[in-house]
Amino acid sequence: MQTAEAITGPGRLARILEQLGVAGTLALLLMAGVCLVAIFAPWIAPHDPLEVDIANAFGPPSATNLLGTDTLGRDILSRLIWGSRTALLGPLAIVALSGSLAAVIALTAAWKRGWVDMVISRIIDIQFAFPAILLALLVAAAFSSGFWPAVVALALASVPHKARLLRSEALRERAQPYIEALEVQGMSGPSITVRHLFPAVWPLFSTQLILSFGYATIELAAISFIGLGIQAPTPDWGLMVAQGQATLIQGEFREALSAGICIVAVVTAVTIIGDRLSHNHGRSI
Amino acid sequence: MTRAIAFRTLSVASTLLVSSFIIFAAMHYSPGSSLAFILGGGENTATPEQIALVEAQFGLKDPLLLRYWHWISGVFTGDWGRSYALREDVWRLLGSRLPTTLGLIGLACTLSIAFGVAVGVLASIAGRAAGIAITIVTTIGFATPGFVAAIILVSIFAVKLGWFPALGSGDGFANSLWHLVLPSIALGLTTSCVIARITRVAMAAELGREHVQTAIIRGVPKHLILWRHVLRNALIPIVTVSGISAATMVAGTVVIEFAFGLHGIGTLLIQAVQQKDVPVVQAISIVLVGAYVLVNFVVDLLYLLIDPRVRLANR
Amino acid sequence: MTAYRSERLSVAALAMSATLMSAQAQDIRLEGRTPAAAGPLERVVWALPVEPASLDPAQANEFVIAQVLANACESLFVLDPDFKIQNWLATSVSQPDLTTYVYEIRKNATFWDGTPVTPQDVAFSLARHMDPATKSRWGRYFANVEAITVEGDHGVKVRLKQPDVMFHAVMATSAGAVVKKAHAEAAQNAIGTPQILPMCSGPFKLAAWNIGSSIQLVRNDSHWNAALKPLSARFEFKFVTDTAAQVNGLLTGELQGMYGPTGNAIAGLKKADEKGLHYGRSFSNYNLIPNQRPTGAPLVVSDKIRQALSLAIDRAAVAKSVFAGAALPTLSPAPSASLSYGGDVFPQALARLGTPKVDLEAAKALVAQAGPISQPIVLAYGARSDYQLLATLIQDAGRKIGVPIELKSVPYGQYVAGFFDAKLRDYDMLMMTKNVNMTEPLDFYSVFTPSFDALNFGRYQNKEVIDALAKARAETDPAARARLIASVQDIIVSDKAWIPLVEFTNTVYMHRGITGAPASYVFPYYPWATGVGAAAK
Repeated sequence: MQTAEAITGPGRLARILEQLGVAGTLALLLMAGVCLVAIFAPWIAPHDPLEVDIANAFGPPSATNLLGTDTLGRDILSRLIWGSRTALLGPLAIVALSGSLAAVIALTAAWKRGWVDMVISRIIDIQFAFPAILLALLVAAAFSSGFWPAVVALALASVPHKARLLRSEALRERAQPYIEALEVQGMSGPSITVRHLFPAVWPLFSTQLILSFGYATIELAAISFIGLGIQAPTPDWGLMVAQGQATLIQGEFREALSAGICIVAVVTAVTIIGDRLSHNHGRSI
Repeated sequence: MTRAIAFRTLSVASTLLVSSFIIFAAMHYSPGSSLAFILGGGENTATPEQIALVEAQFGLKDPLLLRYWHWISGVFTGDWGRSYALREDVWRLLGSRLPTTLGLIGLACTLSIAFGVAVGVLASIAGRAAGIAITIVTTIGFATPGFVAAIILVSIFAVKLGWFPALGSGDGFANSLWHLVLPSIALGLTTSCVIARITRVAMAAELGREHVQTAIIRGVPKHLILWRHVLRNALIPIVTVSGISAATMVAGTVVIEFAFGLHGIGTLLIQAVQQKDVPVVQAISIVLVGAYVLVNFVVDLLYLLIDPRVRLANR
Repeated sequence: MTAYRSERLSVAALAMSATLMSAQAQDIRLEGRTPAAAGPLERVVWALPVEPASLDPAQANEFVIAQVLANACESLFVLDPDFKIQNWLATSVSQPDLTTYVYEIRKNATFWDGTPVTPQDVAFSLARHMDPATKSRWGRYFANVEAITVEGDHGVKVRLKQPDVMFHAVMATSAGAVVKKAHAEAAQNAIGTPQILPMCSGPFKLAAWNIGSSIQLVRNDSHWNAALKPLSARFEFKFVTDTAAQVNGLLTGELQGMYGPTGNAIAGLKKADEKGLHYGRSFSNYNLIPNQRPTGAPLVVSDKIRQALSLAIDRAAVAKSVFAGAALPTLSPAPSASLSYGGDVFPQALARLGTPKVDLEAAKALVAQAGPISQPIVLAYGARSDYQLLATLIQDAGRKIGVPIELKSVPYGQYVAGFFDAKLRDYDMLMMTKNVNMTEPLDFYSVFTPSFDALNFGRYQNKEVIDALAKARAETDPAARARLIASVQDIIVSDKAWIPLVEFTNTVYMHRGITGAPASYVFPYYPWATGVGAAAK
């Protein structure tokens, strides 16, 4: 088990790179590239992603439209570039939201133990019985569709999974003698939790968060694909797959395939990074 | 053991009860009214008398607890109600949709386990280059969402090559099965990649063990070693992972049914939620939650059967 | 005397198609009937885009249920492929005074079980719509009915509280369909379920409804009208929801025909087999509806902005990219096929609209006059692919003239629920297709009157319009009624109460070797399947 010092110590980057290996480093570079594309989208994109040009619908790849155009004559490449924004921001928001909620819930349960833990665990179990993506789909269908509703629904739906793992890890740590020692010294519960308990479980938890970024990407794209997430005409990869799917019958593959490839690339990269980092915990997540 | 099972059953029942109430409450408070779909689901040409009658008949204006009570007491007497929008008995409706969903999940499980184990075994005994190639393929496959796989499969095998039907359910057993091949591959892709990787790791671990090495040195035929000593012991993690994956497939089927235009209970559920078709939403949710819990339960049981150590520890 | 029998529409139709079509849309040819079939077929498989919720004529005010029932459950009158009303189960109608219709019922019609169709059955079938428990979707058309009684041996008398031409007009839809009284009563009025199909008299019998897959019709060999003997012994409607599955099925011949494919499906079919597609006039207009918000919130979409948007929207582009060319740009709120009587009144009214054209400069000038726009206009639409593309094009038109539009896609279920709950549709602009059920434009313009106010999405209220429409509803002289409605059209158009976009033509696809289904939008009203058969070699 790593101690709190290990995560802030010098040479950390070198150690991470060593953990990542060749494939992991490549994946990290890819993610960095996607981040840059997302940040600089307005300057990189050759066209306005919303600019409609009916006369040029389903245009083939050309010097002006490198990947051709979609059903309304919009530039596919520009839409992919702008789409990287929701593709990164959405999952990031989901992970941040569900991660912090899960941390609060799990650490409370682990610290208080007893009936508090029992109640929390029971609630987690019940929600766990309902598949996350299904829950999110239902919430989006019943209440509202759009970027934020989908993000919040997916975040809430993925809390139990994270909380469950973190709770068992935190309980194990809680039983360590040094925590008891701190308690005896008169340190307050919240401050032990924040200063010692959380940092101790952080390496495992952070790896879990990275992996869950991949799932969040897939699930958010899936909800948009079904039409309950991000709404047209916002350029979004999941939505582009859906729109492209509708035109498959006309023999137009480019939009759906290129957006699909983007999703797969990002998820692959994130999974590789998470996998490599999790190896040193000796436990699969 | 019996106590454990009793406890488990009780906990499953309470889970179902609580989730049924939560879903009911969500349907009750979500915007819109079931009225529109009870009265045909199109333009509103209803007269005020009709609206008043329907509201009274279906208790649409009743408070949540009363409505839930009507529903749950119906369920306990075996009456799950009729679909508001489709005017059909809920179970008869589900009965017409379930075969598609079950067929999809069943075929996806079968294909993904068969494919995953085969690839995993191959990877563990193949050379380094083949191993790396398999790793790359399974890593990418793992990261491919079902709906993206759907697009790729349809583009290649249905539109370009014309080997499989692109979409829809088909009729008759053989034809339906044929329509389910591409959807099952899309649904099972992630799982088969997970199983392949787990199989490979488990095989490698078993291959490295002493009794296996001894058997190799003693010249026992390779396929016998693989079968008797390696694969059998490697089965424990494989079964566990397959089970968990089957549970996630229950959820994944919604997206796949949508992507392939299949009439399963997943697409019915989404439609019913949007139409505020409470009896249908409730019944499908119970089926899905039940299936999810059941699969997890079966995995636990299988775990007991396969692993003697666990069996001993539980006595 | 009824007004309908003498009405002619060819003059009006010619004038209209000239004003409707723009250069880009001229590549489609509108037909009334498709080539007549040359021979019989053992079995026809027809695609239905969704499974009907019911097969009760009382529910059939939309084209899915109605296209099945039109072949099975006959009405007092039918609308034939030339949009002419023909006597059907009623052999004549007389109007002793303005508030009374007496229908003479056909003597030689029998139900599928062999029993004769009696005036009692007719009176029962009509009165059903007035019972709230039937949940009839035609209920509002019966609001003015005082009493329905059997008159003599073969007559049915309908007494109205006030003159109402729409009541008589709706008799040529499934609102005028006749079911057997004893059968419906035995089923406690719950007919049209998969277990209890209605008992009617049409040229096809409803044989079976297999939940989740198909509806089977078989030929009724003892039908009264020998001239209309079905060419196929069995006619099967298969439910195929997915667009791609429809296109695949139609192209392989697994499905032999279909009415109303979506724009996307039309594009796919066009690419593979353009000859199989036929287009006809329809009752389906797409309108952009600004929310007038007579009470409460301020008007976001001002008069000038509405005018500007109408000038900026490229309707030809809409027709091309959303409807694969199977739509006609239009400036008429009501579908042109409904403007079918009154001599040259409607053709002149349509001519006043001019031809749709894009004028960005004029639109920008109007926007400049309107002053600064503080916040984006929210355009809400039901999450359906055609609406979505359409909304994107409208947003694009707004961008070009400096009107920011924000799109709000509403889950389709909630969009439909919005018909019943005004809170759910409180957006600045909405999009809607208002289908009309008859060759009577009142059926469209009545949305602006209190009797159909649930369909008045934009909550446009104008006393002058309401008064003129009330007068028209009581006016039995077609020419006078046409003049009243034309005056309403002028007001609606100049107020831009609704902004007309395109008229989606009726589209039918038939696989090679099959022909005979009418191309005009009469399939919800006319026993069209009888004429579907083998094409000449």
